[in-house]
Amino acid sequence: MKNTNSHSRQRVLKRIRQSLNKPIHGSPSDRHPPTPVHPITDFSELNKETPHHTQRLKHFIHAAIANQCTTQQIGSRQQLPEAISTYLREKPLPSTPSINSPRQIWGWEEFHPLDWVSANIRFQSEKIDRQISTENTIGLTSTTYAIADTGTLLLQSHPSQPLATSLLPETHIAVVHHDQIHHHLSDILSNTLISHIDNPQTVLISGPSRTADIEQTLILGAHGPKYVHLILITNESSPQKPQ
Amino acid sequence: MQHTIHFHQASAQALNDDVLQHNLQKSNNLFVDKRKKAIDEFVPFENFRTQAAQIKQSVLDDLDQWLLKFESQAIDNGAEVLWATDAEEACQLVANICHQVKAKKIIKSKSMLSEEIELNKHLLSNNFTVIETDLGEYVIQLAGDTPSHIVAPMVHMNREQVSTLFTQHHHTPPTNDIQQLTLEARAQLRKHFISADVGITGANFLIADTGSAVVVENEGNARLCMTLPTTRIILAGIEKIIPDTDAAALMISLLPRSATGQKISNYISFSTKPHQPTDDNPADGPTRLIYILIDAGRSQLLQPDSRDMLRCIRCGACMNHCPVYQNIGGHAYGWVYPGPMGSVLTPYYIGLKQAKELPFSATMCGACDHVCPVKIPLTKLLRNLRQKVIHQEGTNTIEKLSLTLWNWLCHKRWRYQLATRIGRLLMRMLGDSSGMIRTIPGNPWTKTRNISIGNTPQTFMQWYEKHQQS
Repeated sequence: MKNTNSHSRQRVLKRIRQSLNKPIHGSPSDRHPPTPVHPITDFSELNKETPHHTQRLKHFIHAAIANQCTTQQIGSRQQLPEAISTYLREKPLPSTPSINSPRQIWGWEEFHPLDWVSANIRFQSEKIDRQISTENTIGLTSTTYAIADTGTLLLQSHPSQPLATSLLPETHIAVVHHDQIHHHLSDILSNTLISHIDNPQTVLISGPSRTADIEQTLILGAHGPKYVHLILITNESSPQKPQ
Repeated sequence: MQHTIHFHQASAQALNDDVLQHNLQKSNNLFVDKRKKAIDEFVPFENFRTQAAQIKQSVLDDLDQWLLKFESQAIDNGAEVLWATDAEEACQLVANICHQVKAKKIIKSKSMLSEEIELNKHLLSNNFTVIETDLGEYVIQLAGDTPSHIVAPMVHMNREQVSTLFTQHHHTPPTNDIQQLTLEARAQLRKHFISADVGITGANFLIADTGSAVVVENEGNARLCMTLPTTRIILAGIEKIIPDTDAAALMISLLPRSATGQKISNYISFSTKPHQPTDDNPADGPTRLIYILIDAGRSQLLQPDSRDMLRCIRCGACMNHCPVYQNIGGHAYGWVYPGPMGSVLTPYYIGLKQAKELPFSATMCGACDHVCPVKIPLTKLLRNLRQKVIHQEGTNTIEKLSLTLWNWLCHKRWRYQLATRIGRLLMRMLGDSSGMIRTIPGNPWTKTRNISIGNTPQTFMQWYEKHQQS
């Protein structure tokens, strides 16, 4: 039994019930109480604004760029290593390693089978080293869903999909399949899809980490990644996610 | 904490603080303009505001049942749920957990509730190292200061002040480059993130159906607090409950727009269960997840005449639009919560006697009512509090005498008419030929403004009676 302070619990509940003018002793079913009637949430006003589903990719890219992400489009997963190599060649870095030495990427296991050697990338799929430098480091993840309206990614924690890969490095590269894009957050957080937040942790990511705490001046790369690069796969559907 | 808040004195000092005034002027319009742009672009805003108010209210009306639902689901998920009646108990529970896990270093993300209960002070007295990780809160901590805004805690400070603090504490060269200062904080805090034993966060919302905590942020420090340490404590007021993920989606569409003018905040995390420990590598998150549900005056606020206030989702829109707050900043309000929402919460939480000046801090312009995303009737709540203050604390002698005189004058028509005619005569004596009173000795109003008295030769009643006859 994880609840170890029942005396305080009872006091708080008693005070609440007194303010609500309810009987103060509750019921024997307090451990598994009946749920009160759910107020209904109506998203119809929002859905009036929803463009056609064929426009979702375009809207997602537009919103992601507005969030200070960069984007690339490729046809299939097989093209991923070369696409990343192209991105990294064009990416300005404060200290560029030798042009011929391989770039190192930490990535989720699902990307391990791809041909990284030909792209001159050293791919590591073991858990990201927490001591890694906050500079010049790259993490590669996929996504579960994306939201076109706000340019948002939804990632879920799983042993083979650690969220730290999207958080610790300086650059986060995320792979998004076209069929993963929904228009609104309410489309994927609705009660019918409740299993989507059944993982220990689910996170919505909408661009690089940022802060405006000092004189309300926006700076990217506060604590999380300074760069977020989205690679959109347009001709393949997304693979099954691990359970 | 029972200190008396001297709002009038503090606000006068704030108005004379040139550095504060300069810093406030830089930031004031930014929040207002950004919010307006975001709301104008969001067609369903008013509809969603109404729904959000209704959803929060329906949960508050059955708060005991919703809390039990959340607790039951969270425990089934493998989390622990503790309850705290007051600030002292909440602090003790946190300290006990930290002792139990033999913690040395604790990292925290921004939590106004933790400021309310003075958690850092308690943890420091128990010899824990506590590091605030939100950039603004980190700077405030280094300065030994307190936040002046619930969303932007160091809005009252400038880059030079930050540079001085960093030079003093990090032993780095001074700089006025905001990007450089931010990167410096990033590097310093990353060391603490990696070496912390316990992460403490608040929760913007608790979802009853799924037993989840929702944390909304932009920096990523809260994500680090809920990813790297093995033990995570979530502090949440009992009013944070929302029913389900639909309600979460609704609230998420309102909160960032109202707070910072963003369509969505950078990171929104849903934490539902502890992570499973692994043999060779650290887990991707805490293996122990502990909620502390805190009352600390909220059950009292739940009474019918103040229940509306518990709908607050801590966006800060009310204070951003408050003409009083815009001119004096947050510290003048004397406690954790400034602006209109603070002027209601503080008297309820720390006592009417200690905070009796705060309900009178408002101009009652109603801007706060208009912008609140959950339609809290702040001016009505302030008015109620003013009545309570007068009934409980009375008023000063001059005000009592003035109202007694006014009462006596109004009882007889001839007295009232005589008083207004004397008043009109006095106004003519004080005014000039252009129909303006430019100086009233001892009256601060006329130091910066004139009073128009016009050139009307009669009182309204004289004019009315004359026109009635004709």
